[in-house]
Amino acid sequence: MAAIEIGLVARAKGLGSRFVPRQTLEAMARAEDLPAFLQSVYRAGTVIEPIGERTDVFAVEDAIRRTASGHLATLHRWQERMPGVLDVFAAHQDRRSLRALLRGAAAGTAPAARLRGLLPTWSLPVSALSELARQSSPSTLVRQLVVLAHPEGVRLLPLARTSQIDLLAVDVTLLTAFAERARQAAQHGDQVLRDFVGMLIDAGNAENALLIAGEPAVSDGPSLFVRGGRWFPIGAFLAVARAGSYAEAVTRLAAVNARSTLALSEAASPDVARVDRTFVVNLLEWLARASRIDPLSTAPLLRVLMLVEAQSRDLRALAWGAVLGTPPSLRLQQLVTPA
Amino acid sequence: MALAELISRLEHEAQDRARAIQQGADVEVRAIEDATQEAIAQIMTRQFERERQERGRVRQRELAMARRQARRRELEALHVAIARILNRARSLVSDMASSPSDVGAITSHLEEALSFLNGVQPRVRCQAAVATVLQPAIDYHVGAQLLIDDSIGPGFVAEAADGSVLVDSTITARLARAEPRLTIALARKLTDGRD
Repeated sequence: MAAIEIGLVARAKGLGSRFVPRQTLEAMARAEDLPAFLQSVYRAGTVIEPIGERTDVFAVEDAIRRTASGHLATLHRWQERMPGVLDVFAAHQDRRSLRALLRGAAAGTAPAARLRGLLPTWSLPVSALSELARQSSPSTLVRQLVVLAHPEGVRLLPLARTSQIDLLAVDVTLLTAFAERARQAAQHGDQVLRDFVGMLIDAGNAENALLIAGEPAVSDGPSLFVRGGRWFPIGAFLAVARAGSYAEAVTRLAAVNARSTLALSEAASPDVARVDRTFVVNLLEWLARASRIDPLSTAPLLRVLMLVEAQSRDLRALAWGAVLGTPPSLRLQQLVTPA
Repeated sequence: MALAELISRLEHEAQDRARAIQQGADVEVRAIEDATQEAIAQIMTRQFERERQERGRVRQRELAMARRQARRRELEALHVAIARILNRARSLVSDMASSPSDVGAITSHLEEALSFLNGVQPRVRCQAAVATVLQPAIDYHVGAQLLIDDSIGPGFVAEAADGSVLVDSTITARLARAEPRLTIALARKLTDGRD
C-alpha cells in the first residue's frame, strides 16, 4: 500500500476514535425526551456538530447530517492517489439519496422528510440534497440533477418524461448506475473493495426483488436483475421476486443467503427496514473480520466509512425515539453500530 | 493643767475620734452602697441579657417562619403561574394542530413512529381531520392500518396489532411528556435566575 493510502487509513482510524461507542448509544436509548437525549450527547463529547438555536428533532437531524458530511469531507481531503474506496462509498450513498428523494417527490412528502437519513457526499453535498428535496415532482428533480451535472441525471431523464414515474424502473436504473460507477472505481482497488461493491449490488438486488415480490404485474424479472453481485445470483433473485407474498419472499431471501452478508436471523421479522439493518450489521462484521485478516487492505477504511453511516442512523433513530417516547428496548433494536 | 482644760481636751479628742469613726463608717457605707449598686447592676445586666437573648431567639424564629411562609407563597405563585402557562398551552393544542408547521411535522412523526413498528402490523388512530394527511405514510408501510378515532386529541397513536408497543404522539401526550422539563425551564425563567 502506498504511503498516502496508509495516511488515509490512519486518518480514518483517527476519525473512528470519535465515534460514539455502542455502550454509550445504549445509554442514550434511555433518554426520556429530546432535551435529555441532547444532554447525553453533550456529555459524550463532540459527537455531533452544534445544533444551533432551534432544538427540535429536525435541527438534530441537520446536525447529524453535517457531522457525517464533515467526516467524509475530511477523508476526501486526505485522499490523493486512491480515489476508489471513497468513490465507491459516495456512489452507494448517492444511490440511497436519489432513491429516497425520488420516492419522496413522487409521494409529495415534506422536504425535511425526504432528507431523512441521507448522507451528503462530494457529488451530492448538503446544499444539493436540500435543493433536490425541495423539488415538486420527480421530473423537476431529475432535471435539477442534470443541471447539477450529476452522473445519474442523464440516465434518469427518460424515466422522468412520463407523467407518472415508474419507481421500480428508477430503482433498477439507480442500481445499474451504481454498479457501473462502483465497479469502475474499484477496478484498481483490492479484492476487499471489489467484494464490498459486489455485496452492495447484492443488497440492491435483494431490495428490488423484495419490492417486486407479490406484484403480479411485473413479468420481466430477469431484466430487473443487475449483474456484478457476489452472493445473490440471478436464480436467487428470480426466486425471491416471484414469491407470492412479501413474507414468502423474505423467507426465500433468508434461505438463499444463509451465509452471506444478506443473511437474516430467524428472529428477524419480515420488513424492509430490518433487512436493511441486518445487511449493515453483517457488512460491518465482515469488514471487521477482513480488517483483522489484512490490516493493510481497504477493509479498515471501508469499515470507518460504514461506521459513519451507522452512527448517523443510530443517532437519528435515538433522537426520534426520544421525541416519540418509544420504549428503550425498541430503540436498541434500531442500533447498527457494533459493540 | 487645770482640770477644766483636761476635760476640754479629752472632749475634743473624743469628738475627733467620734468624727473619725463617723467618717470611716460613712466610707464603709458608701463602699457597701457602691458594691450593692454594682451587684444590682450585674444582676440586672444578666437578667436583661437573658431576656434579650430570649427575645432574639423568638425574633429569629419569627423571621425564619416569615421567610418560609414568603417562600411558600412565592412557590405557590410560581406553581400557579406555571400551571396557568401549561393550561394555556393545552388550550392552544387544537390551534397548533391546524398550523401548517404541525401538519408538515405530523407526517414525519408518523413515518418515524412506523419505522419503530415495522413488521408488527401497526394500527394508527387519529382524528378524521388529519386522516388524509397521514394516509400516504400509511400506504407506504406494509401492513399499517389507519383508524379514525375522534376521541383522541390532535396527533396520532400508533400501536402494534398485538398491543406490545404503543407510540402516543398526540400533542397532549407530547406536552405531558415534556411537562417536567418545561416546569423546570419555566420556573428558571420566571425567577430569572434567582435561587
